[in-house]
This record gives sequence, C-alpha cells and structure tokens, in this order.
Amino acid sequence: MPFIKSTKSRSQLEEKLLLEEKKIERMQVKEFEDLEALRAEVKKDSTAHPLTRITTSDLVRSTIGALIGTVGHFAFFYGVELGEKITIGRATFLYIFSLVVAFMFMYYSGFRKVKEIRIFRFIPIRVAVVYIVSLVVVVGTLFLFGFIDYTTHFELIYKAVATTLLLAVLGASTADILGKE
Amino acid sequence: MTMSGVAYLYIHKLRVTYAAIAMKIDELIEHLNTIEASEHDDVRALAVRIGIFLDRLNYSIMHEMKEGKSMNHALFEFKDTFLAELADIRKLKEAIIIAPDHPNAEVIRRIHTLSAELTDELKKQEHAARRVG
Repeated sequence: MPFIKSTKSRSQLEEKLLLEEKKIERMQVKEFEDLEALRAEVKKDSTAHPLTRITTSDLVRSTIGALIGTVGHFAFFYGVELGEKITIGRATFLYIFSLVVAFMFMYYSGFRKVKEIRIFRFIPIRVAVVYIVSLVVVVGTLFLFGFIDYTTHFELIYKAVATTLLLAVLGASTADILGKE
Repeated sequence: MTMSGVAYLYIHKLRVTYAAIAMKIDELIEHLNTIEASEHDDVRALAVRIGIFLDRLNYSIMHEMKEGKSMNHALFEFKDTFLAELADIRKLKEAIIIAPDHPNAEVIRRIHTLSAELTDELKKQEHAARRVG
C-alpha cells in the first residue's frame, strides 16, 4: 500500500514539476520576445538617426575644399602634365594613397575632447564621401578646363585624375574637419 | 530545453540586445566628443532614447531575477552578476542623461568606460552560462 501511495505522489510531483516548467517556458518566451523587440527597436533607431546622415552642408563643404585643392595655383594643370608621364601602376597607387591619406587625415586630426576615444565605425562613411566628392570635382575641373572630354582615352583620364586627386582629397578633408569647428 | 539552457539563451539575448544599445552609445560618444555636439538638440534626444532603452533592459533583468528567485530558476545562479549589471546600467544611464548638458571630457570618459565594462561583464556572463548549460 505505501508503495502505491509513493508512486502516486511521485507522479503527482512530476506532473506539478512539468506544469511549473511549462509556466517558466511560457514566461521565458515572452521575455525573449521582449528583448528581441527592444533590439529591433534600437537597430531601427540606428538607421533613422539624423546625426549619422551625411548632410548637404557636408557635401558642399567637401566640394569647396576639393575645388580649392584642385583649382588653387592651377594644380590640375601640373597634374595633367605629370599624368602623361606616369604609368598605370603608379596612377593606381596614387588612388590608393589618396584614400589612405584621407583616412589618416580624418582619423588623426580634428577637434576631440577626449583624444583617446575614437570610434572607428563613423570614419569610413565620411572618408568615402570626401573621396567620391574629390573624384567628381577633379573630373569636373578637368572637363571644364578642356583637358578631358568624351573622346579622351580612358587611360589618360585615369592618370590625369590620379595625379590631381591627392590635392583634392587634402582640400576636402581639411574643409570637412575645419567646417565642424 | 534545460533550465541552464534557458539561462544561457536569456543571457545571450541580453548581451546581443546590449550590443545594439552600445552602438547607440558609441554614436552619442562620437557626437559628444566633437564640438558640434553641443549645438545639436538631436544629441539630447539621442541621450533620452538611450536612457529609455537602458531602462527597458534594466526592467527585463529585474523581472528575470524575480522569476528566478520565486521559481528556483537556473538564472538565479547569476544573481550577483545581474546585480552588478543593474548597478552599472543605472550609473550609465545617469551619465548619459547629464551628458548633453555637460559634454566634457570627464563625462565622455565615464560613459565610454561604463559601456565597455558592461559589454565585458555580459560577455563573461554569457561564457559562464555556456559552461553551465
């Protein structure tokens, strides 16, 4: 008799435990869903925030800086002359070098209250904007002054832009940094 | 799923959620750290939103701790680390809320340190939960 009784109470206990576990599981699922919803909300907020956007004034600032770097002292004129003398390999290196210079310039310069805190993830987008704006400005300037047109061979354009790009990038990066201050 | 498995899953979700909030905190630090930050009302709005996110995270941890206590939940094993995290979140929120009005080096450093510490704590906790689970 006591054996039957203990088996019965054990099965009751197991049932109770199972119910309890199910209850915890249900609550846990809700808790997981809440956390998931919070994460989704935070992520959504990241894309919508206006401070991470590149504004029109950023673009204008970079364009003016790139123009000063390119047109000042008619640097593009010497750029085209140099472009005729360099190889495609050197021109490609100049494109990469200009990008590295833009990155270093923007990463290490500029006003910061706490110098040691630098958050890498915000730099690439600004560097990309400065680089692309500089490319457009250089091509535009060369086109305006009649050094390149629709009939110009691609290799010549590639080399002429490469030699002038560095100056444009320096001008645009400076404007981007100074503009903020 | 075992109770310790549930605990691991919860802590993992907690870490991932905080990682998303930490990105917003990085964004805030970036803006506080440059001079234009003080001119932006958006910085204040961002700080308030982060504060709300941290409050919700805090609530989730407190709720989880309460459940763990009453049901002998596996999560209760992590009571001490949860308590430390709750304290850090509170301190972090306080620093974030005052930051837009006082965007000085001390406040920026404090937010940066607290956020990094919290990320580390959550990683360690997740690692411990994985071992237990």
